[in-house]
Amino acid sequence: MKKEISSRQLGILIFISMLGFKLTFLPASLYKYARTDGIISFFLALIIDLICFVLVFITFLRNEDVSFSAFLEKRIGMFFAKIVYFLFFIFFIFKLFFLISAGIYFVKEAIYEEGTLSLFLFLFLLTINSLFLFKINAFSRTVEFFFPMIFFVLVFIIVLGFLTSNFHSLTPLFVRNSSEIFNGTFRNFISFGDFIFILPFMGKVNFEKIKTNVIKFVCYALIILSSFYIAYFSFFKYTAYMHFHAITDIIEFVPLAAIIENLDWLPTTLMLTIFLFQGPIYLFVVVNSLYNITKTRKFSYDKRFILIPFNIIFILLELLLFYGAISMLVLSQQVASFVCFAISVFVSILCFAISFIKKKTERKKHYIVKLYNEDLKWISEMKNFNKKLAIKKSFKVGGAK
Amino acid sequence: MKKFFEFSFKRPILVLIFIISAFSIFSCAIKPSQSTNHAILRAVGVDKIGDEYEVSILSFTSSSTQNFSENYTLTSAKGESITQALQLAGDYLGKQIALAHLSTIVVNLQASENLTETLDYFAREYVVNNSTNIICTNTTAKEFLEKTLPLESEDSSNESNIVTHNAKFVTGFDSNIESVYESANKPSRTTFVSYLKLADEGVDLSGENNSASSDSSGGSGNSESGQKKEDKKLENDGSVVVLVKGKNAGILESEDVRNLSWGTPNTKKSNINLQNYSDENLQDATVVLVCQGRRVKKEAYFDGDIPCVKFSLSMQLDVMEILQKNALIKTYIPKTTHFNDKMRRDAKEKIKSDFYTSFEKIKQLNADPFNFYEMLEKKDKNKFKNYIYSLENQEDYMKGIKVVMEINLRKN
Repeated sequence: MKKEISSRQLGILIFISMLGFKLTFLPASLYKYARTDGIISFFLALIIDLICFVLVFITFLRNEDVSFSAFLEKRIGMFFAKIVYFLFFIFFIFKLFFLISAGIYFVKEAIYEEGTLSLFLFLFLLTINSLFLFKINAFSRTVEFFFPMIFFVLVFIIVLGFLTSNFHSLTPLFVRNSSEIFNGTFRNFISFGDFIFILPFMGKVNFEKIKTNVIKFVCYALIILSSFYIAYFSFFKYTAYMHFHAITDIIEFVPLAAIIENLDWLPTTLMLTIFLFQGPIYLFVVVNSLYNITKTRKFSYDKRFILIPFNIIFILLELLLFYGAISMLVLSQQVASFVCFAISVFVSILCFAISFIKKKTERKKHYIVKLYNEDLKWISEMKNFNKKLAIKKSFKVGGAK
Repeated sequence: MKKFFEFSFKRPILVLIFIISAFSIFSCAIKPSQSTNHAILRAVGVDKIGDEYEVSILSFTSSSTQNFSENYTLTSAKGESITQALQLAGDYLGKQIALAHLSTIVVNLQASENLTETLDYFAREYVVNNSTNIICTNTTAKEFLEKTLPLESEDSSNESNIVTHNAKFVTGFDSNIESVYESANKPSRTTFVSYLKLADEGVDLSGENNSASSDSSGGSGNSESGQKKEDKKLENDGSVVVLVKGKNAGILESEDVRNLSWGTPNTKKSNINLQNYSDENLQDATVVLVCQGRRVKKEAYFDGDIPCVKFSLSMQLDVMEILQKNALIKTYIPKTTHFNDKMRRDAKEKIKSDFYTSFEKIKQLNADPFNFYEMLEKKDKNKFKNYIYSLENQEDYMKGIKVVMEINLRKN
C-alpha cells in the first residue's frame, strides 16, 4: 500500500487531536460537576482514553500494510464492517458539530462579537474542506510545519500563567462524592476518545520509528495537559465557573503596559489553529466512513463528491438544530457523552479483539516448474519440488524439441 | 482569455483568494476607524443610589497632542442596572462601549455593600479581565473619577498603580474582580479591597499638564468641565474595606492593616516605631526599625478541642532612624551598635501587641484573611467539624480560634 504520511506526522496529528476542547470548555464544565475534584475527573477520563489508545495502537501496529476497510471486511465481513463505520460516522459527526459550534462561540467572544453565524460557518467550513481536499499528506505536512509554533505557544502560556497568577493548594482532594467525580468524567467524555481516528489511517503510514514518534508526541500532550489542568485548578480553585475559556484566562493576570494591554491574542490564535487542524481530521474520518458505508463491490466513486451534499446538510443542521455552543454543550453532557464513551471504548476493544482473528485463508496458488537440461530431458519431478535447485546454466527458450 | 479561464479552473484556490481579497479590501476601505464609533473605557465608576445605579465612564479620546498627554472624557448615566446605565452612557457619547482596556472599577460604599452583585455585569463580560482593579471610595465614584482625572491624563500615577502598590507593599491582598469572587466562594470568605479616599490632605491634583477635558454630552449627572469646586485630594493611607462573602463587613484603618501585614509574607516592607525608648545609648528616643527579609510560617494545631494557629516570624531588623530630643550621641554610629537585646525584646513585644490588637478587630468583623478555615480543616477535619458544629453561629468560628505569634529576630 502507498504510504502517505510519516510516523512523525501521525504523532503530531495525535498530539493535536488530544488538545482542542480540553483547553477551552472542559475545565469549567468539570468544575460544574465536581468542583475542585474536577481534576480527578479529568485524570480518570485521561486514563480511560489512554487504555483505549493502547488497544488501538497495538491494532494499528499489527496491520502495517492493510487498509482499515480490508482489515474489517476480512475479519468480520462487509455487513458488520459497515456497522463499525456507522459508529465512526456517528462519533465523529457529533464531534465535528461540537467543534464548529465551540469554535464559533470562542471566536465570537474572543475576536468579533458582532460577527454573524454565517460568516464564521463560511470561514470554518471553507478552511476545513480545503485542508481535506489537499489530501492527507499535504495536510499532515501543514500540521507538521505549524507544530513548533503550537508547542512553543502552549508551553509559554502555561509558564506565564504559573509565574503571574496566585497559586492555591490543590488539596484537599476527594472532597466530593464519587458519583460527582464519575459524573464529571462521563458527562464530559465528548472531549476525549479521539484516538480512534488513527484506525482509518491504517496502511497509510510509514512505519519507520513509529513507536518512538507516536509515544513521544503522546507524552508531550500528556505533560502539557497535566500542567495546564494543575495550573487551572490551582489558580481558579474557587472561581473556575467564571472562566469558561480556560486557555485565555490563565494569562489574564500578566501585568502589561498599556500599549499591549492584553495577551489573549496569543491563546486565541493558538486555539483557532488547533480547531482548524482538528476539523479536517474529523472530516476525513466522517467522509471515509460515509464512503465505506455507501460503497459496494460493484459501485465505488470519488470520495470528494460526498463533500457537497455533506456540507449542505451540515450547514442546515447547524443553523436549525445545533446553533450555539451552549446548546451543544448541554446536549453533549446528556446523551451524547455516554454515546461517545460507548463508541470509543467499544470500537477500541472490538478492533483489538478482531486483530487476533486469522484472516480468511486464500487458496494458495501453485506453480509447476519444469526444467529441461540441454538434452531436453525433464530433470525435475513433482516430488523434487521441495529441493532447491541451483541454476548454474542458462537454458535456451524455444529451440528443438 | 481562454488561457486565463483554463489557468483559473486548474487553480481554484487562486480565484478564491482573489474574490476574498477584493471583497475585504473594498469593505475595509470604506469602514471608519474603530475609535470613531467605539468608546474605549479606562475606568468605570459605579454609584448605588437607592435601587438605582449611576455609572460614570472614563473614556479615552484619541487626538493629536504635542505634549504626549492622553485625553479623557467623563460621562455619567443612571439606570436600574449597570448594563442599562452603560448603554445609556454610550448613547450620550454617541459611541459603543468597548471594555477591553478597562483597568479600574471604582465603587462607592453603598455599592460595596454587596460587591459581587455590583460586579456581576463585569464578571460575565468576556472582554473584561478578572485582573481589573477594584477601588472603594468614601465619596461618590463619579466625584472620585472627576477629581483624579488629571492623574489619568498625565499617566504618571493612576489608580491602578496605587492598587498594585498596595497589594505588594501594604496589604498583601490583590484588590480585583477575581479576589472579590474568591471571597464569595472560598471557605475563609474574606478579602481586602483598596479604600482610596478623597480628603483635604493628600496628593495635589492641580498638575500643570492638565490637558484632560471633563465634558460629557447629555444625560443626568453630568460632570463639569475644568472646575475645581473644593480642593479635594487623593489619599492612599493603606485603608481597606473588608469583604466577607463578597459583602462589605467594615473598614480597616491603615494602622490596623499595617499591623496585620506582619502575618502576611507577601508585603515587601514593614517598619516599627519604638516610642519613648531608653537604654544605655539612648534616652527617651523614637527608634524606627525596618524589617528585612521576612519569612512567615503559619501552623494550625489543636490544643485539646481548641483550634489554634501559630505564626512563626523570622526576620532581620535594621535601625533606620533615631529621633532623640536630648541627644546624648551626636555623631553617627553604625546601625548594628544600637540594635541590642533590649531593642530586640521591645520590638518583639511591640509587633505582637500591635498584631493581636488589630487581629481582635478582624475577629469582631468575622473576617478570616489568613485562611484559618482551610488550614484547620486540612490539619484535622473531624476535630474542626466538631468545633464548627459546637458553635451557636457557625459564621463566628474566628472568635474561638487562639492565635499565637513567635518572632525570631535574626542577628545582623
